[in-house]
Amino acid sequence: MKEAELRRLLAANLLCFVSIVLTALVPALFLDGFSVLGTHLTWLCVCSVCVSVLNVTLCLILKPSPSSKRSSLSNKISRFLKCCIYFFMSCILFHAIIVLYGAPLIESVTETFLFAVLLSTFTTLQCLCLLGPNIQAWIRVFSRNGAMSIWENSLQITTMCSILGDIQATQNGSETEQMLLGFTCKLFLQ
Amino acid sequence: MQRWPVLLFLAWVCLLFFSGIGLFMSGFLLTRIELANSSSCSDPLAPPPWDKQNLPPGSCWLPQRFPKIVLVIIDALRFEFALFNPAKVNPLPYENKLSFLHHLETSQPHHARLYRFLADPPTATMQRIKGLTTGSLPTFIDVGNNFATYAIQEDNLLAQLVQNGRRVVFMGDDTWDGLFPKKFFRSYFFPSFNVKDLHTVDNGILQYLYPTVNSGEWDLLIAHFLGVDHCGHKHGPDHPEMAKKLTQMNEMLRSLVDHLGNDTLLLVAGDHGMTETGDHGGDSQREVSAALFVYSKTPLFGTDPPEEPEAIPQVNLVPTMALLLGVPIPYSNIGEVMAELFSGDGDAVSEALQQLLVYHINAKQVDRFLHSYSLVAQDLPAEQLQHLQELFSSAVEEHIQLLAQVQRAMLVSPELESKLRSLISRFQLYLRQARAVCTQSWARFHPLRMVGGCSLVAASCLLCYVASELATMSDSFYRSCLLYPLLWGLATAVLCGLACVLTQEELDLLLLLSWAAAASLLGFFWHWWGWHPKRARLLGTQPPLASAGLRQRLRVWLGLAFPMGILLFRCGAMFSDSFVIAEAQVTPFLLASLVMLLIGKLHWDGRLTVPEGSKQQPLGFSSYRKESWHLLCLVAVLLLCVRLSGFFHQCREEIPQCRPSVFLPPLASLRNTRAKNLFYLLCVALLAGLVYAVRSWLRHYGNLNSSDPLVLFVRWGFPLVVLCIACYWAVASSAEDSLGKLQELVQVAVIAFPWAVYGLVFIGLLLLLCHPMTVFAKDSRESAGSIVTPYQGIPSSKVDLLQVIPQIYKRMQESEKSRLERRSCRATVAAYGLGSVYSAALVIALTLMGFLLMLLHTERLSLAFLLLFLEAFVLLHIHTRARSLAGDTEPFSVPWFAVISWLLAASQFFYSTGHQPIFPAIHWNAAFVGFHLDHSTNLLPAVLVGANTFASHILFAVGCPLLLLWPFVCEMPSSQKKKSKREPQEELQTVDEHMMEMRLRESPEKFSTALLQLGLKYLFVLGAQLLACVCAAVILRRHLMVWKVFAPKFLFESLGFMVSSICLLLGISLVMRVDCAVSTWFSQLQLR
Ligand SMILES: [Zn+2]
Ligand SMILES: [Zn+2]
Repeated sequence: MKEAELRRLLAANLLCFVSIVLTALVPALFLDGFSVLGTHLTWLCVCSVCVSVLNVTLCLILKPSPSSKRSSLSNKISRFLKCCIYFFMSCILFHAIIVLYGAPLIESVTETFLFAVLLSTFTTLQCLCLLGPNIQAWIRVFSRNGAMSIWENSLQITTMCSILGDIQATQNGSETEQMLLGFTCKLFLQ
Repeated sequence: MQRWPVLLFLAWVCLLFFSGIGLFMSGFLLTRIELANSSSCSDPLAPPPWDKQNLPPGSCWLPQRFPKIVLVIIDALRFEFALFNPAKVNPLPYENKLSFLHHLETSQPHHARLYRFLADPPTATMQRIKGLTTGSLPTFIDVGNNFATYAIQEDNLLAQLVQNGRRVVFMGDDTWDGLFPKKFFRSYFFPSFNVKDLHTVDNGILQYLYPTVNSGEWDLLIAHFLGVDHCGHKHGPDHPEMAKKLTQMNEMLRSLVDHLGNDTLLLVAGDHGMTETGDHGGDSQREVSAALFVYSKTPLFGTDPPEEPEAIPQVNLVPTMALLLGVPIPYSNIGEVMAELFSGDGDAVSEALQQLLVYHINAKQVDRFLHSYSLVAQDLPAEQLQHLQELFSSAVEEHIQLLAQVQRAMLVSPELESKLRSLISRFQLYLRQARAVCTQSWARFHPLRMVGGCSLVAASCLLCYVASELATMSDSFYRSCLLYPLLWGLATAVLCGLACVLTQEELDLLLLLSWAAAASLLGFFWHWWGWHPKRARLLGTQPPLASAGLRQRLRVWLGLAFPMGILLFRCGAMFSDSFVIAEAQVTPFLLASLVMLLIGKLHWDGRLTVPEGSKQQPLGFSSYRKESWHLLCLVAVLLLCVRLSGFFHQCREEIPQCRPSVFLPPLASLRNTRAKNLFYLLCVALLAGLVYAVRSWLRHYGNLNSSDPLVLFVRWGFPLVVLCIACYWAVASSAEDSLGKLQELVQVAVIAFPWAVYGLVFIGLLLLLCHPMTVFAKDSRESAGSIVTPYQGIPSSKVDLLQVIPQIYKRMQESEKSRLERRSCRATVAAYGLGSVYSAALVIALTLMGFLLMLLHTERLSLAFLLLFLEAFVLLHIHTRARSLAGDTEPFSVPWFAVISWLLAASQFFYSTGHQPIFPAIHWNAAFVGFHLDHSTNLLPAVLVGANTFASHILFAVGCPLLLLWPFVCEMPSSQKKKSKREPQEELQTVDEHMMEMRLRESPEKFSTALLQLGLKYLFVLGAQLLACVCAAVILRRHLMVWKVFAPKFLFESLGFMVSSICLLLGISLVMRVDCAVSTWFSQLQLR
């Protein structure tokens, strides 16, 4: 049982990873002049859409959350709507946090918002798939000794890593990248 | 409570740091050696013996070509100002204004020429005057002399002229007076320092210029106009005022040329350029390129001017002027003559011969200088000198051969000319390479001193860390870790002094101090090592702490990892020039990340959620406590503050797309009257809001009830200060011309209001020192009423009407027993505001200093100051909440997280008050708040500008003890809510809960230890940043950006460190002073 669960988890995470890599490469075949840095807006869109589709399908196929009781259609619909609202709210929240962190307020709103959407797909969407629209469960998962299954453990780790990783990029996108690059180069050169 | 040992310990640590900084600075900052030699007429550099033409009387080295030169220096005349482009349809305010120069150049192409005049950085006026007269390069540290102008000791053009009996007449900038005392035949000086004054200097010069020119009693006439520079500082180049000023200069030149004779050369030069904001000092293209215009009524040039004006270094003017006037070239000159001015009106060959002669003299002089310099100092690399020497001697040899051939008339004209030209280019090559070698290697470091300073700073940091981790400080600690090291240091100092006296060597005070510091550091570590095991053994007798185990220690280390990681990031960023340039963005980012990490950690530990197992929660689900939501709101406010403070940033020239904040320039420069009025009202309203907030905070804690002079000052003095500031802003921001007749009144008011503020603030601080207690005691021991308890005793008194929350303090020296007795003896003292007496004093001091610093900044930066106060307040609250949520059991130790975030906020607001660690960004205007004309001393303007620059360092350092006090101040509301529901029998316990800061007094030993630990932690974090800067400067000393980025950063950081540490000491001593006052108050109470 545990073995099988572990294998499914591994497969899901691998699929996610492969899909992200593919979003960076595949559209170049169809779209002219596509590159991750050059046309970052398109890439952000493609990536978030792909990841979210993958996440939802995985969720439906694998059914990792054990608490899926039999429920009526209306119940399901309200659950779905709740999920949508939560997702949207998390996008707004991430947007606000990014702006507070120093992103320009008006100049590149689309960039910032798409970035927030991407961040939400990596974090909130996974939470929604696994735990459903239940904030109290989220809070439990993200505290010490809170995770109860491997799925939740994996969720913990991936979400935190993506937030930590993106916090670096939050600060004015390309400028920071250049700075980081310059910094590491300098460290190596000396 | 041990007051003096704590202060002494901190002062000693500061001194250790200072000596490290001093030692490092003496090794790092460039000092070129100035040679005392000077050229003279009889030097064997004169034309070689075969050139037998006799020098006319009064000429040295070369016959003089012009008996008179007029040098007009227009300060900050950027090259673009002098350029004229008739094709421009809509010229900017500074373009196409000097049309007369263009007219001369087009109508008389052989008489006039425009050059791009390249200044050597630093482009400060004094450095440039030095360069323009000595022909040598400035060194980095000379920038600091801009306040105090020292006489030039090196050989210079003016000295040569005076030595050869010429008359130099000067008019204009009085900087020259300090640089060349008693060198002028006649002089008209005008005060230069007030950059707001556009006209005094220029009008003064114009008054004397033409009569002096006409009188003819001069050989060199220098007129230094300052209006353009001041206009740039005040309004920037892109302003109608600049157009007016340049037009005035154009008219001046037009009439000056009318007055000139045929034998006079006119030179119009800018000493440096200016940036887009009108400042200068750095080495950007705009600052470095000035204009030089040459004109004479006799033909000067043999050829037509080139398409694009030629670029020449500024030092080239010195040898050119010297040889044109027929005086020796100054000894230390490394400039190259402008040979085309010596061409005369002969044929091509004679022209080339003449130029060759000039170059020969110039090269000989430079060679002589390099030779004597290499004898004195070893900083010019030997192999390069060798190479230069070879270049020079081969060129000279060939010159001699060529001349011999010329004399024998062996060569035909075209071949000769080409040979001459190639020789000239070899001389040119030599001169240029010599200059390049000098420029490169006058970065002379003392590696030993640098390493020594570096290790002193590092050791002091280690000391701070080690000492701050000690649990308690007993007398034995002070004896072994303060007294003995001090004695070690003293002994070393005395020994060194004796050694110096015995060996008859010159006593270097700095070296002495650093040896003493090193010895006392060694002493500390020695004694600490010997003392530490004893402590461990003592602790070993108490089982619980010793057997804490690996796991607990690991947890402590992990807890440290977060804040220390952030600190490490910050220190690492000092090593990269791009991070230093972008530090204004990096610091707020680190601050926000630190706070976010704190929240994340609290959440991870489950501190934010309702504890598991409470009734209303189903198992497995958790929700946030109410306090956690408060904390989250505070964090949101903090992030908002951090984001908003980014609107006040100044720009560095390295980021071209950056636009400086619109809030930086003073209101006076705003042309839109409505916006001006709106901003003014906003600033004043926010200032009043600050006063209101401070007063209501004090009232909330009951510190506004007594009738002490200090409290009265807070009540009436604060609004008065605000009124004065508001009046000053109103007067200062009003348009200059609009007031007409009131002008004189305005002049008075501009001085009077700042002085009123200075006076009031001074009185306030004095009162704070004399009577720091803001406690209102209500003695009810005589009253016949029942027991006075906090909430029942005085329902109808006026104090209650003021919505005071009373605090009762009972002497805790009384035992539990005596407290029980108290009920029967019916006597008690209610003291209002005793619980926050320490913080109240600090808050009052901070507010007063805030007023003062706001006055020194431009009007709209007061918004940034309000953000500063708000952010500090929020940080304190976050710190308090986080501690209470984390269930901190050690109330007397301030966590590292709090100290680091406090310091990050300090450096964040350095940038958010419109500063940058570069020299052009210094707000020099601050020196004139309350002073109209020149300062008599240099100390006062230095203090004012320093206070302006390090405003946030000062405020945060003075407020540092609040980090310790705040959790005690805030303990009350939460406990009150909890306990008030309990039964009345537990009243005694309720009373205990309200002790607030008196808890600190309960254990004076712990209090003093806590203060010392806080100070040491603060110094450690500051010192770590400083260490990173110092190391960066050492490692990257040959980096391309060292003078542009790292050296200024190091200077600002070390100055900031000094200011912060001194202010930290002041803040802690203020707390001690309050403690003294509280003690006397209690003793008086007992006597009563
Ligand atoms: Zn100047
Ligand atoms: Zn200037």
